[in-house]
Amino acid sequence: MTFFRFDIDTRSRLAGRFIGRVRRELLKAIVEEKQGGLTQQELARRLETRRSDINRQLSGEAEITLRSLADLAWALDREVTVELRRPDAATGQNIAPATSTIGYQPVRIIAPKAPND
Amino acid sequence: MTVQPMPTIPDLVHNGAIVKIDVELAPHDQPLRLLYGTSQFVAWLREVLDGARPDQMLGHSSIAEQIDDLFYSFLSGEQLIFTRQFRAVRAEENAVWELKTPDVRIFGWFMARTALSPCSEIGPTRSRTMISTEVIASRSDGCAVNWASMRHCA
Repeated sequence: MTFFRFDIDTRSRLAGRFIGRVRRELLKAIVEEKQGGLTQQELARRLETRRSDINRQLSGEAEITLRSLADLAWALDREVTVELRRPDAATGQNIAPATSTIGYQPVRIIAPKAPND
Repeated sequence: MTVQPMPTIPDLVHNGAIVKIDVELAPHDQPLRLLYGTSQFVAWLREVLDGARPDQMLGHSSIAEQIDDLFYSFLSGEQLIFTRQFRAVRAEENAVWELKTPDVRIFGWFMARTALSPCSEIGPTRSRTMISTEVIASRSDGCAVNWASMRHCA
């Protein structure tokens, strides 16, 4: 085998990547603000919460509610943009829902056959 | 005495030493980094896809979702968050690097030093569950390879 695709079902993929993207956006904003002197302690003070609670949310160990996302954005002087749109479809693009062979079925490993198969 | 040339990534793939790993990319994405794993690592990934998980989990996403998002970030060339998603275990040439999620640690190294550039440190990380495996990584410009072995500990 020369190739292995880590292929999870579309529902899980969308959820996992969305959750990851939200946290990355928050972390990027914190990195930017940290360069201006903002600490997590100061962030916690602004939000009137504990630093450890923020840390758990940013690390993925605690859920980030819509309220806490909005509060974090406020404390970081950012605006949250939300958009629901249909998947892109254009020639030459990767179209994940079309190229995936698993859809909403149980996970399955996609790998080419060995040369001797 | 003959000197054997150092094997290239295609050589290692051809002889089965490593396997190229990818995930489904989004419509506008192109793979900007490459990821290779040993057969042992791929076997572990298969176990994850079959539902394997540590006894105690810290993250709210499943292990497979965490790994898919981590691989997606890496392969699509996204800026990885230093200490949260990756860090150098040893700060030296050919250092061991760590890709990480709340519940998974993937250790390895790059063949060239240009592979990942830390952006900034956010804060200290706490001890978390690590899952035994190994993975080999590379950039699409061919400058990286060979993630090293992992340990399993709680």
